[in-house]
Amino acid sequence: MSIKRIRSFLLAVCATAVLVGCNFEYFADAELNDFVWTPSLAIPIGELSYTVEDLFSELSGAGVDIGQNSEDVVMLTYEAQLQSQTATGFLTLADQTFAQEVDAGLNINATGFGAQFNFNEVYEFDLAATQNEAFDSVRFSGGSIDIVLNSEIDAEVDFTLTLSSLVNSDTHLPLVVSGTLTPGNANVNLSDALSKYVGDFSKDKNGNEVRNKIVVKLDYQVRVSGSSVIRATDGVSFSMSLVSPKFDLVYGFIGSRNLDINFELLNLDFFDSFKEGSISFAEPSFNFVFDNSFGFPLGINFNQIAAITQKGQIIPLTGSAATTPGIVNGPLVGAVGTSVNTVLKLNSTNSNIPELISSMPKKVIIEVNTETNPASAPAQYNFIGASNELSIGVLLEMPMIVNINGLISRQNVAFDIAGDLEQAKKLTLRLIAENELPLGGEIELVFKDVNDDAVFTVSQRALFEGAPVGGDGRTTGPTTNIVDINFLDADIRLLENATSIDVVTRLTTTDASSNLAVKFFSDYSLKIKLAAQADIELNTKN
Amino acid sequence: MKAMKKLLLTTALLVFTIQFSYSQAYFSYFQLRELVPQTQSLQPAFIPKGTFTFGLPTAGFLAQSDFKLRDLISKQSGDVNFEVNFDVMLAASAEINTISTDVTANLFHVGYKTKNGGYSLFANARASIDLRYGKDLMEFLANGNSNRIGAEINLSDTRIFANTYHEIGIGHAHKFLEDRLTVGARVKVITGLFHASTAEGASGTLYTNEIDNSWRISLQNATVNTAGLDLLMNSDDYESNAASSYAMSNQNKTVAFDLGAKFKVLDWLTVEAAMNDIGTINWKEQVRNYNTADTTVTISGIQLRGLENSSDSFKDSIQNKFRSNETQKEFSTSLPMKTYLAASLFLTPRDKFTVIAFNNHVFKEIDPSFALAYNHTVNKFTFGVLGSYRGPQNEVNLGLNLATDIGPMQLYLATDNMLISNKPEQYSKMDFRFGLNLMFGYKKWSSKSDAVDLDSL
Repeated sequence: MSIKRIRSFLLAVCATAVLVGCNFEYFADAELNDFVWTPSLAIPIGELSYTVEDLFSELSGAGVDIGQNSEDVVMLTYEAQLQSQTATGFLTLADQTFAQEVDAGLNINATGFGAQFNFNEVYEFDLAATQNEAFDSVRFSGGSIDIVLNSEIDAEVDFTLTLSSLVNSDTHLPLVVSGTLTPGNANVNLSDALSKYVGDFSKDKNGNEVRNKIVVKLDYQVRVSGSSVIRATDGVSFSMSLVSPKFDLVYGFIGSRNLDINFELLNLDFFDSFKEGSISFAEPSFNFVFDNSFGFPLGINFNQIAAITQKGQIIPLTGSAATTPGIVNGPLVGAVGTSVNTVLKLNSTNSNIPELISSMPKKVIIEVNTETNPASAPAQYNFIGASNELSIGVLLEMPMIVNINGLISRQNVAFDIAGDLEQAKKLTLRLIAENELPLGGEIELVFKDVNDDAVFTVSQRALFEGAPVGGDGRTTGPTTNIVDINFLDADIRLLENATSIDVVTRLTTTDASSNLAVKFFSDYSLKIKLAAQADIELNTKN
Repeated sequence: MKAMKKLLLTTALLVFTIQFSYSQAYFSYFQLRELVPQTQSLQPAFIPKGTFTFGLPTAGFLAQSDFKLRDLISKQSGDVNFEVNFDVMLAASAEINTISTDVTANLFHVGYKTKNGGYSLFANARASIDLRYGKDLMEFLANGNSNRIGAEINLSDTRIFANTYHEIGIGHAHKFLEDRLTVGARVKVITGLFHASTAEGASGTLYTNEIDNSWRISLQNATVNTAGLDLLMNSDDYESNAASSYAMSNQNKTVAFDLGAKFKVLDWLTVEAAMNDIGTINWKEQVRNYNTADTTVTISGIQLRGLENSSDSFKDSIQNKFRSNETQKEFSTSLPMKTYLAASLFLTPRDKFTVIAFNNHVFKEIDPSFALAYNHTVNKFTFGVLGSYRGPQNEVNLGLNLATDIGPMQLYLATDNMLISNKPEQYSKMDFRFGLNLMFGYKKWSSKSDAVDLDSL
């Protein structure tokens, strides 16, 4: 019975198998291929957000500061320092020599007895002035004073030479030289460092206020012996020399002196990135900034200022600023050690500066002449210290009130994602620009390989449109522009060879053709959203 | 000639016992009924026919999806090799799709039949994974989101519920009303081992902006609860015997029930109902919750200016938009309850039509499957085939169930798709139950009129 049941069971199974059969052909010799995923993904990439400052940030590398003025209009400023003028450029002290010979007036011929005669003399000397300088005092920092005394008298002469005009800086006592001259030793040479003294040239021998005076007092005593033979013309003499005097500080009047600052060449590299098109600044100003710590005014003459364009054209400065001297003030005598800042502004009211700047100059030539104590400046008590300086800087201020028409910027940026493109089979890059600026931009992308050869070009197309400008000078609202750039598989394969992109941007302000100058306010922004729709292929094999 | 006759008859029976179904269930196994004691796991009111039954360890397996095997591992025209192609799977997808696998290992089954019912003692190890997803998910996998720019991709239909546990229990079935009513119940202690599921109400949508392709992602209840998985994935962090100790006993215990009833309404009509796996596991041990707070975020890319490492920045910017964390809070999950409803119309005591409805409540949805079966049963031997019709792919499956006693030993096998061996790539369901039982005392309960001589068939 059991065998019958097994047989029945197997019969049913076999019957089923016969009916159904087995067919695994689908699996024969088959392996599982690498998994290949080929979705098409629409993804946001991100946003490039620019303020006006950001847009022109590349100029910062060329030394341009980007800020804003009191009206919140973006301001480009370029600052450079010209050659500074030190004290020695304006004043050097000349060597001075003073001499005096004094007859004693004695007529003695071996009288056989001794006698003693006393003499007191005070002398005044004038400092030699070359350019009308008149000093009240000089604090010396170098040089020497050489003193020579000589006696023709046949007797011992005790002398005391007092230089009232040279006062020791420490003791506040005048320089005093004393000694004895004998017939056998009739000369005395003395020398001392001038740095120990302050020259006070402001009083004459009577104490009256003067300038450039040196007062010397000579006291001497002649001790006549019985054998002395003295003629009436015999006397004593002295000479004093200020040799290579250097000053620390000079008070008085330094006179009228000229100093030329020639051919200062100002390199304005920040216009280099703009090769084509035009940009006109409506209200630029070229400011000369003087910081003067000399205690006297200066007259400034702009002998020549000219712009040299990138094509070599020379555009000279014209206008009243080119012919009218400017005055640079100096600190008053009570403010020694300080500086006075004076700005001489060249703008559209006194010059053709807008024309010069709008020419996008490569360089600016500056030739300036300075004159101390010019006649046009109010009279001022002078001082000059060794550490005083006339610092001359230039400040180019360019408020972004401009008309830009077809201004082309070319930038080469690295393209280092070529390796990531391998999985992309088709790509649509979407750029959505939301622009508050009164500035439109067209873009052209030239992808280049390592040999700088173009491998693929995205032709020029409008990337963002300039926003319309309202009556208050501000834009009335943002414009939105959408650009789709399509890359087919073959295009992407070309991009894989690219290592850099030439980004060519053509910029034009709103209504540029009508010569409208638009203002770029600091709160404007340009946002470019990037999105992509990519057919990709991901393979587990890779 | 006699053999030929039996073959033809068998064939005829096979054809006529086709069961039409749109199923996710072990329908064919269900049809083995009282002949195979382990079917009590489907209907506790089944009372085995032997006085004493001892089931040897056996296993059943079911894998089913809404796409065919050739959709899962497809072939390009002219290519002998397979590939996994989301486009092919998308073409085969319905609006809502499910993938289910179930593995049940019957470790032992002891049954004892009394005059008015029966008792059983059993232990099972069970594992199931149920994945439910909408067509949007597959379309996203196949085509990305480019086809849905300016539209929403709804991933809210996506659910996963994976459970592994073992159970040990006792069952009892009792006859009432002069054997017209049979009520059965099983009580079982369940120890949860591994689990992963999306939280109830979890939903997510992705909207792609038509202008800038920005993604607006909305998440609600975005939590994945797991238990035991850390023990598997980070086994180096644990003692060498931690996994075995955890598998033997842990705090993830509960008591669950299977309930069932049969009622003979008329002599020729029996109705029955079963509700299995009623219970809730409170997962306490080895718990990890991966949470993302309810949010709606817009991913619009990153600020590209001054960017040095774009991929990291992109990743960071996305991560920073979501507040995610990992916690170890205990959670509860209902067992994937299963319901059978059946009505059998007896043409003869041996021949009946049965209408069966089945629902898997894993995602707390009522989406029943139905089967219409004709079954021919003789005393210690039953056999049949299963024909099932499945909607989305218009797929017809033929099933088979066989059981016979050979002395004290019982052999059985059941499958809902016996055609699987003939070009299996064209089917989307595969299941198989096979086992051996030791049956004693069968004759004690069988009347002579029930005895069938197979040779006479």
